[in-house]
Amino acid sequence: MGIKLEHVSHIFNPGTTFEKAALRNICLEIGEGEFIGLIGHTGSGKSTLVQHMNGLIKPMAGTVYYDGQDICADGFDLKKLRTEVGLVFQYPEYQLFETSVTKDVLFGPNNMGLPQLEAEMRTYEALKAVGIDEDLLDASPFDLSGGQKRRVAIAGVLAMKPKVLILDEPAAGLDPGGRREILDMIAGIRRERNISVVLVSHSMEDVAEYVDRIIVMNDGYIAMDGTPHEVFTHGEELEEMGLDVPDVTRLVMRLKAEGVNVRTDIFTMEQAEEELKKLTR
Amino acid sequence: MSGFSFQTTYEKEKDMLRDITLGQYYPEDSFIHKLDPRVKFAGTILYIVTLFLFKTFWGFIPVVLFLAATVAISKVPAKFIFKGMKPMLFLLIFMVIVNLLTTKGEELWSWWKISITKEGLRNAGFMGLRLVLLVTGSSLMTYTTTPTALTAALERIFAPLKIFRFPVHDIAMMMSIALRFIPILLEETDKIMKAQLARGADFETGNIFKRAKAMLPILVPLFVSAFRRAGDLAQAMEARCYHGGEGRTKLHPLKYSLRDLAAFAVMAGYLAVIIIVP
Ligand SMILES: Nc1ncnc2c1ncn2[C@@H]1O[C@H](COP(=O)(O)OP(=O)(O)OP(=O)(O)O)[C@@H](O)[C@H]1O
Ligand SMILES: [Mg+2]
Repeated sequence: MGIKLEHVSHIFNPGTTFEKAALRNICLEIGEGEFIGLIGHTGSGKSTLVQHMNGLIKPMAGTVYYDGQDICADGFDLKKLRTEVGLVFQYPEYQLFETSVTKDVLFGPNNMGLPQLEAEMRTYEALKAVGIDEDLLDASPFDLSGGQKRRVAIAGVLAMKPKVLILDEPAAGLDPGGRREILDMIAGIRRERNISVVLVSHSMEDVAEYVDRIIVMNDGYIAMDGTPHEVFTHGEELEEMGLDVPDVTRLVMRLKAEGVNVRTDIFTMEQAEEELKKLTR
Repeated sequence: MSGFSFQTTYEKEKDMLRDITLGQYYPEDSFIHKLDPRVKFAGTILYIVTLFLFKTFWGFIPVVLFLAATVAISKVPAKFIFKGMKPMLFLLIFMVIVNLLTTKGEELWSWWKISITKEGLRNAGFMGLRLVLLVTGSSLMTYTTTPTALTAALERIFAPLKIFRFPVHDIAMMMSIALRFIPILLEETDKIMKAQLARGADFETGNIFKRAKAMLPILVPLFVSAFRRAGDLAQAMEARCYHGGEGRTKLHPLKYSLRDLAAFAVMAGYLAVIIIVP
């Protein structure tokens, strides 16, 4: 069950000077309840990849399956797919359009054709889950702060109760405090609703300590796929791909290079502390 | 790479967007690309004028040859040249049919109240060919000239109007900004459309009112973003002390080269041929 991509490739503007291979032979499976970080440098194809997962882009080669069914097959219900695989775009705050916060979040549930009461219940639940205060419910979404707008936009997708939630750079453009808040909030929602979450980011530091699995993209192909520990044992390769490894990882990598016997698959302050304490013992 | 029969609700809209080729530049390193934009502008005007200079079908031969040669030299794929035609298709068919049915003359075939005449057939053919050549020819100019170069050329060509206090510079600047923004706004529309589709939006079903209403989730964010971009740009321009055209110099002033003289010579030859054919 879940999402499965088999040998998926995508080329933009084939046969012209603008030709760009954005995805090359991607094979990937996303199971139920997984928490995945999708990492890659700018232009590595992350956004293109996630748009294949809910059928917004069709693969030029290969197949995308949802719950075992080919989503390109005739008669496949794409609208339903999009409610079950919720995709929050990069800078989602630029897609708000309604006159009030509630109305905007209602857009998704209403499109699903839910009864009014059910749709409203979901809207309030979603707005609560993203931490929007009740006194903002009737405000115009255009009067909110950047961080609040983004929360409302995330609620707009959350209100459809997706089984897989994909967020494209949810923390982009926020200050460190705001980033942490948004990521904590997403981790909380995942725990509560028990759904799969794919977190797209170009920053290792942001996602490493939240997710159970990291997929690293480089130039349109999957370069690595494994637990954070597995991925961070390849610190140097990550740096070669233009990815920032967390500061603590860089520290232990430097120590190792100096001949100190430490593990390098470390990415949180706590792990680093523990490892360094071992040395002094 | 084949076997896709399915069309998402979104694919159709996207195809529509992709067809808008206005202001699209096709980067290549060709003789035509390197020509002075003023030459290309003059050439396009000349080409359009010649389309209306001849009276017999023989006239189309030099025009098509001239266009085909220019396209070949420009290295822009023919596919692109014809793509510009797609949005005009309806107009083209409409004009051809009107010409075909309304021209009086020697009757060839008739049924009920409809009659097709020899003159009608001829007019429709002329009309259709002219329109196709007109659109393809002028789109070649936008494919081979960057919007900036094009407006620089217009500014120079219309500079004499300044004595009548006509704001040549301002209009040229506005035009270049507008052209620059077309692809950006198209991309933005594409993104917003996808984002709303991801929330279950439906742009296709329902009557005309319902469909018009379905455009709101695209139009509102699009306008908001256009105004935001305009504001940002205005600030950025002011921050760089932009204050209109007065005393402003160019980083790359337009200068004619030997290449441009050669192009003028070819154009003169072409004009002569058109005038000579019956
Ligand atoms: N609509 C499009 N038309 C043409 N090329 C595109 C389009 N969308 C993406 N590309 C190209 O495909 C490549 C992958 O883009 P994509 O947006 O998937 O990257 P990304 O990993 O999400 O990058 P970022 O971190 O900047 O968001 C890029 O080189 C980009 O220029
Ligand atoms: Mg992206």
